[in-house]
Amino acid sequence: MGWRALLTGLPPRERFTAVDDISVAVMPGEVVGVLGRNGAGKSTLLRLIAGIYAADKGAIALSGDVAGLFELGGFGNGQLTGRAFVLRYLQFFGVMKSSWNEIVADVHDFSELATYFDEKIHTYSAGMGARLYFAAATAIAHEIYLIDEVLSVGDEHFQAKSWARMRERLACGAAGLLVTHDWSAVIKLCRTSRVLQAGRVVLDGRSDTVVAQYLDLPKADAARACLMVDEGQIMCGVSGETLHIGFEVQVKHCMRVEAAVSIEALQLGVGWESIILTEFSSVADQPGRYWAEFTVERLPLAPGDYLLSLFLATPPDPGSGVRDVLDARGWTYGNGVTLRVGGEPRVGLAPFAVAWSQGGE
Amino acid sequence: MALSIVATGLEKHYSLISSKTVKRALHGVSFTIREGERVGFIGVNGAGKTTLLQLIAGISDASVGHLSIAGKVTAIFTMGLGLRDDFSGVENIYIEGELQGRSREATAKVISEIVTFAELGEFIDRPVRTYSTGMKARLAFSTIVHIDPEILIIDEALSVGDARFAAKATRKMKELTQRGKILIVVSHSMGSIVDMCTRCIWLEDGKVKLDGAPQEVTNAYLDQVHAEDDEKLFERFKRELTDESLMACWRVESLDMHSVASARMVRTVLTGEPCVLSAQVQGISGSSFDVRLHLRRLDGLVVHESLLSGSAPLMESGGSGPTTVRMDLGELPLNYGTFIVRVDVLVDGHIAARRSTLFEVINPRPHKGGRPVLVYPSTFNVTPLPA
Repeated sequence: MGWRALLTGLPPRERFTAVDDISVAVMPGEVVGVLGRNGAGKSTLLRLIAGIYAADKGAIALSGDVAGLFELGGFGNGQLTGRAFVLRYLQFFGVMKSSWNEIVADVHDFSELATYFDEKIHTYSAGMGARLYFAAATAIAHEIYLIDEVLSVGDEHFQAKSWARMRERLACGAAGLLVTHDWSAVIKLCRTSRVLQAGRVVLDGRSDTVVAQYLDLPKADAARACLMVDEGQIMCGVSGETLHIGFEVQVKHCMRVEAAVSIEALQLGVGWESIILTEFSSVADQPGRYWAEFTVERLPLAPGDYLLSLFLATPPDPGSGVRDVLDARGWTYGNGVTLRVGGEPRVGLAPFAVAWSQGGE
Repeated sequence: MALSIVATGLEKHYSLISSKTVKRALHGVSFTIREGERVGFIGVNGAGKTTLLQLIAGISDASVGHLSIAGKVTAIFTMGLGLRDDFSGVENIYIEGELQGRSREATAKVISEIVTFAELGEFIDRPVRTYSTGMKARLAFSTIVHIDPEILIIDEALSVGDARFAAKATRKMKELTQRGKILIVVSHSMGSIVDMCTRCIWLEDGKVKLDGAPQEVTNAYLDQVHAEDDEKLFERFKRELTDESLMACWRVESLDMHSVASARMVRTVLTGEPCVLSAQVQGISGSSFDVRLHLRRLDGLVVHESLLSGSAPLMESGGSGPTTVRMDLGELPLNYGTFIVRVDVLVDGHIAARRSTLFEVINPRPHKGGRPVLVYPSTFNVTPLPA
């Protein structure tokens, strides 16, 4: 019987199970993604792990200092200045006094608060508070990071900076849990992911597989036009040389068909980048069989495996601008094609040509 | 009598409560505006635009200087500010008319025209508090332009309302000024200044910085704003940049991005624009060196790395001055974003010196479907196959 029932004699309100029978283990150097729509129980899960809420059933074991990167900007004491907040943070986590000056300077710089750093937190905007908190929580190395949509703080430059910093922290062997509804963040940061739905884990596995299932994109019926490309097919190219990707397209109706190609680099837990993406170009306007050849001179891709996606679509509807996808191959549909690029190993994603010369005086 | 505004040495001082010092919002502003002129005032926030407009509108007085105005001034400062929330659109039109000293009968003659212009549909009979901001702006604009103002002042008017209404409002204002009226516009939209005005005055720190044709003045203004933006970005990420000498006498003295078309140093380049990185390497005379180019995006993604010795012979450090190393990136294949580029000078396989700089890439025609790292040419050929 709860307090409400004890004090008022009223029956307890209906109970709501936010998180139901979830087990998750995260090892050092690993970030596990938890995807889910609003109300799926993601935030509750994070707060249970952080010890903000107590679980009704089950156990949580953590080894290491926890940095909770959620409810950014929700500070206990708005009377503190940004600087005082950072000092308190350092004291709380038992950071050696000798390194305080350096860390405070780093947070001051990273948070870009300038003179506001010495103003009271209650004068901050939500974004400023979030920047301060993110900068403080990532300035010192924690063993465990609990992240809730954190990387959407600040403008584009600040976000880029935050990603770089988060990666750096995780590369040092921290363990993390990222809850988000942004599937691209999960792909970039997590090797494995879960999908939560109504408090339960409904999908579990490699992030790309989980994301493809989570997205559950409607597969094109390929009834009007289709790609004669097998699922899981491997196409080959060589770095720095001309790439030819040829495939057959069958058009069954009298209609305009356009095609586009996308090449993406995906290293689970490290990064996901679209590297080359073409605009749609015309394939046919008559029924028949066609050979389409996509050519890239001096292929600017480092050796390795890439995700190749092919799309067949109608021209955009003049009113809505929306294309009708006729057929597609791609990892987000769960039927992707691999582009295997050979050549000498190189640093950097895009070895495009650079002409070196010695300039005059 | 011809309408005119003549300002001579206008100054406006505000005393700040927190300090004893006086803030000079205007600092000796002089100009003459004649009948039929459409003048746009531009400048960063705090340049004194609003203060100047308040003086012209008679809301405040100049501390120093003289302002003589021939004509009746109508000002729309914040669109919708003068509207009364509990009255309907129609009632507001009548109230506005009376404030302008017009009889009910005179307003009744133009009311259907105003209502049509405002395009509020059935909302015209509902209280103004039920309107969206855009609807209030449309109503306010419509009431004002239909009362034949002599000198019309509009502050940021065109930023509200949808694009189509803004276009209509612009046409209406052109029509007004063609009837020999004076129009004064303050806007952050350079496009609407160029479209609407015959003259543009750029205020900076309470002074007239430039006064002339709208296209020229807005271009000069945008150039300065962009240069300041570049400077701010650079300042912000200064800490990420290096300039190190790891071996005695070796140093990369400069590292700059050059646009081939404009033949000058730039911090911002366009996707597809031919550009060249240029480094000045100072070293021990007669020793040969290799150079490594390392390019990463601000979020840490290593985009590119290449080595001089990968495609050309090593270079030799000159006797007198630094050696210029040119790295021609061709038609820049990078998509929009901010990048940090670093040059390492290698002597016998060891880093002798390095330096990095930052540049921003702008893509005027971004992809609709995503944000690829590269914007790289490709072709698509289709040949029919036998049935």
